[in-house]
Amino acid sequence: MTRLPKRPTHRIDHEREVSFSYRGKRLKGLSGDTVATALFANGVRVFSRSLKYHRPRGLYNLDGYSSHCLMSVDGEPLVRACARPLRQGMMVEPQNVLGSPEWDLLGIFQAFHSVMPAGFYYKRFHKPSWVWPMAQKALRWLAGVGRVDPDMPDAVYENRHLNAEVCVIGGGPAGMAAALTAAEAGVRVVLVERKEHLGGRLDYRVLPLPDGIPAYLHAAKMAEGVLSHGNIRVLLSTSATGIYQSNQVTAVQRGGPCDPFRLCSYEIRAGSVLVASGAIERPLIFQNNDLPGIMQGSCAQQLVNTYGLKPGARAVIGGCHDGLLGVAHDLAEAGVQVVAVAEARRQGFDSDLANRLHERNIPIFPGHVVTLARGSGRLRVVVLQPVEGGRGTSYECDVLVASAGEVPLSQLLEVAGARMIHDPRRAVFLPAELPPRVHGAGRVMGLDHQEAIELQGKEAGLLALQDAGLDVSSELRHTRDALRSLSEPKEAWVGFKIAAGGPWRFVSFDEDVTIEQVEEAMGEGFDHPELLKRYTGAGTGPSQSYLTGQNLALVMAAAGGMEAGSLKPTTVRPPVEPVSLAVLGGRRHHAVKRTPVHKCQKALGAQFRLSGEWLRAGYFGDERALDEILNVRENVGFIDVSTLGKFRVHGPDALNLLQRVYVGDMTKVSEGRLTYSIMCNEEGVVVDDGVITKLGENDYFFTTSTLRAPYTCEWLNFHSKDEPWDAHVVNLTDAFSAINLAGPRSREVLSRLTDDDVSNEAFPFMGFRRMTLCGDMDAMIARIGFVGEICYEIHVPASLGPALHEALEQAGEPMGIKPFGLEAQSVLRLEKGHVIIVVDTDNHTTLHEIGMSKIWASRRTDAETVGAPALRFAEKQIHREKLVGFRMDEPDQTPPDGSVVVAEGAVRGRVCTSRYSPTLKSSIGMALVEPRLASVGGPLEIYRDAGLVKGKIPGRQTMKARVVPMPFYDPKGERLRR
Amino acid sequence: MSQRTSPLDMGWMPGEVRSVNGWETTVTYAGEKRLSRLFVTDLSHLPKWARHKKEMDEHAPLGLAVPRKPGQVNADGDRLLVRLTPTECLIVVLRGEMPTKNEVALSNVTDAYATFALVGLSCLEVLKKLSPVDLEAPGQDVPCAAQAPIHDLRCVILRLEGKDGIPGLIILGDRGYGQFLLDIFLDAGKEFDIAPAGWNRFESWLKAFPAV
Repeated sequence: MTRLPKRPTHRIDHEREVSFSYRGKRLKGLSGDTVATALFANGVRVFSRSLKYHRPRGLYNLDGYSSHCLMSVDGEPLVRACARPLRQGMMVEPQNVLGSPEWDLLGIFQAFHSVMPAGFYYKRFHKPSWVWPMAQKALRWLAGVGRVDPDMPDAVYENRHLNAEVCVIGGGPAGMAAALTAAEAGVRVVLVERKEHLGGRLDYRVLPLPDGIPAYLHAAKMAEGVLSHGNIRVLLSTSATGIYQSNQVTAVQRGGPCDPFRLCSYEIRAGSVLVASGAIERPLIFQNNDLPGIMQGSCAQQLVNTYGLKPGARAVIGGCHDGLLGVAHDLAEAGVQVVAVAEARRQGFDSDLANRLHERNIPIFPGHVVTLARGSGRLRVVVLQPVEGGRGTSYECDVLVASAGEVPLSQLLEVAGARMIHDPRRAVFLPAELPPRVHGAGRVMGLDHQEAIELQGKEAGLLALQDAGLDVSSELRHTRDALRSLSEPKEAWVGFKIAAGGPWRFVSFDEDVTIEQVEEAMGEGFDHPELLKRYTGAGTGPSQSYLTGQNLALVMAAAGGMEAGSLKPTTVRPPVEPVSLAVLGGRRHHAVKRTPVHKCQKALGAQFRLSGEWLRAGYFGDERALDEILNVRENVGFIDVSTLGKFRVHGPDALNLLQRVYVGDMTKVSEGRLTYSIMCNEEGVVVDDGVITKLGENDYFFTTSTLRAPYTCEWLNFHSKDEPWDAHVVNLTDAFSAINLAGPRSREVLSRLTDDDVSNEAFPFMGFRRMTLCGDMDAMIARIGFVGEICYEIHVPASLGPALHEALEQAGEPMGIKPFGLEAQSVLRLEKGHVIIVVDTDNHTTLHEIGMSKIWASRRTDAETVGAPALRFAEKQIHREKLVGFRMDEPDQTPPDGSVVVAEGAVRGRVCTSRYSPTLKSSIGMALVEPRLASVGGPLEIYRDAGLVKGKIPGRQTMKARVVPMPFYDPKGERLRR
Repeated sequence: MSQRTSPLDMGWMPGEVRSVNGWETTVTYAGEKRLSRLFVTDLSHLPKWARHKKEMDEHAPLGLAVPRKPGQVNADGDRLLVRLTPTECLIVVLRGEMPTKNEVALSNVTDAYATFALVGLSCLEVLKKLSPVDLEAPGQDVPCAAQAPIHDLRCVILRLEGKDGIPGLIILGDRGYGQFLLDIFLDAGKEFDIAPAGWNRFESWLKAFPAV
């Protein structure tokens, strides 16, 4: 198809061709085309098939609000071809068709429409019941809306955060006026515009405004001011998707050829939000209102003025607003024969535009509407009829430009909290009662006068400045006075109950919902738009509430004989436009913490695993870590425990704070000694443990578990917030590298690093010392016994971690020192019967259940300790579970952690941890079980989850174990005290 | 002397290296002459101290007055004193040593943070890709600071202005997340031609740092 001669409004480059393919054929478009306009230029008129009846659908809207042009582009399904810029080499395919969009075999469903009424899938195929699963599959296949290509090339998806005093949504005249007003006062403005350029609808309007300047030139001048303003950041090709609390606006930008991303999501935090999103033409409802060739006025006008394309040869215009008269003029100017203009209003339309049409001998029929369109697959004939009814007149044409006025694109205001109020004069629901710091301007507020639109934009800009604390009261008053002096928006007409009927009067194009079906559903009792929407699907498709929303409420009111406006449009929820899940994922960076000795451990062959937020060495070599375990038991090993939470608490009330969060008596904590204790929550459930020591007067140091460390500061602050205490918590978790040197020969290794006395007498079990290692390394060393041998937990500044690691390797070499990881540690501590909080416990496990009641300083007042009242209560509950040790009857049988303990056909407990112990040469474990199963020597039956075998669940299998006393290893604790 | 190790691997071959207090500080990187307009420098070795005090306003550690409000920064060209909360401030020693002071309120947090500078006209644009923090509000004093999330990780972010008014950021994050934070900054800065730079380049930018 040849393009119209160049015009200043064209957004295409007539000299730059862009090749692409459609259904395997190579085609050419122009730079600046959308996929849809390029296809249109190549003669494509049927773009898709409808969801249910597979009716042919053509180009209807060019602003991305319609489902008529959903296509697959470069493997991406559900692309709105009308809004996707054409790029070199694009591969475009139709979707949801069996054949082609023109000849779709599934179009046969149209013949069965009478058996496929609204909500038919709730009624049909359910009896007998075995039919439904098959029917469901078939329906899903038939109603397919494209397929995701798993081989679609990956792309960059980004997130960005912007802060501004003002965020303007919409780059039309109202939005630009608002942005300029605010920016001139020196505040930061972010302007979000869906299209690739500013200007709104003025961008493609050639007729002059009242001041004599062509609309597009006026828009271009404003756009130039906006784009060159240093305080305005303009985001083009960006759709605002929601307004959330505290005026956080979300938006998604489609990257152009020069952008480093395919999509970028924005979170814009704004002092004020100005919504100037404009309006959309309301679909006119008549028989066959979905035929290819029927389009909205803005669509026809953009085809001509933006893309240089003639929508057809003979056109009929039908509707009820002045914009359509302008469209008739532009089409005639482009050489399209406009055979009739049906204007539903009898009076009040723009006389200047009417005169222009008269000059071109274009007949206008006031008080007439389109009631019927005919054609097989494409529009051929349109019937116009008086509004009051009567004889219709047929016109042959291949284009029908039709719309029933305009409705505001108020979705963003609605999600921000605005109420929609019906304006009977304009037959439209308009936003009202906007929340604080949210303002609307322009057509979205129902205005249609150009000067008023810009004045209201200015007013919104001033209101935003007022929100920011600027005194603009005088200017605001003048602007409001000027706005009041302008003419009121014109009356509109909308009618649905006119003479011509028929089965194909669509209210919702997306879901193929017709007026007949709405009436039928109402007859079944679905008499509220929210109910009917869910029953019929009207307004739930890709175009959501944009094309259907207001019509549905008005059609229902008319069908039910109710007053227009008595039923409100359905609730809008964010995102108000579809958002790709990929862009929500962003760059997919996965934040993990690495310990100071990560590289050293890696060099020794560590296999890492996630432990909370940290990457930790799981094992070195054998996955079961048997050699590592035996080396600790017989010799010496070392494990990186830098991930432990490490905290300093100081201040005159430090002790009060510790007493509050620990169940033990913290007054007993002394310098040079370690005290083990546990933290419980308000329910007495154990949440953390660790050791505490005193560094000096009102100065304490304590460790916590790896998993709990990130929350400890908040935990302490939360539980002291109402106290007038002077105590401060310093998180030193990352400041220190910690290595646990463990094994019978660990003392030998340590003594090679320091001149200090490390004998058992000088540095006993549960002692804490500050020492100098390697001549200049200040270290804090805690002698603990978590793994059941002589252990030294050495803390040094994190930057010295690698140096300590290397020093330990060298000093321990003669003794055969080896690193060990989490797996070995888990077995070693299990042999000692030591619990790991959160791993072995859950959010019901109290101190009493794990047998640690003796730690609780129960004589303290309940108010002193978090969880004390609950512990006191739980102490008397004899039915609570108990922690027991068990040994498997079959030494090599190890139940997975979390396996359930069963008895008499019911779950009676669960395995906390179970491992094979190379020391004991048997599988052992800990379990929380009902008290009656906790007797030493008693049997335990553990359910074995064998998983699916060839897709089938195998028969019930259990493993046998026996309750044994804990600790399993060195029950008197002699080894760690040597 | 035991060797101290930075949590950051800049992924670039060091040229000249200087050892200070056990820290190996990269003075210049090999091939650094190909100067990017946006550079990142490892500052993890800078001494840092946290000071917790209930009546913070009464004290003026190191001769620097404690700023009145969280987010405010006082500086004397060699040291920055950042008010983080009503009861906490952070001291970053840019040049020289932190005078040893036996005050219980002070905690040495040098090794608690991975620290790096991001300097260049587009440093704030890079920050926008990673954090919702707003350090550019009209009338905002510079230097300034905020405790804010970067990729959902809590960090301390300082905004400074150096030579020729070129902006720079000093980012302090948990040491364990240091490499991750550096990597995401390098990734986010690709479109601005980000490159690592040694201490020399950072210091020459810092020379014009205003004393308060």
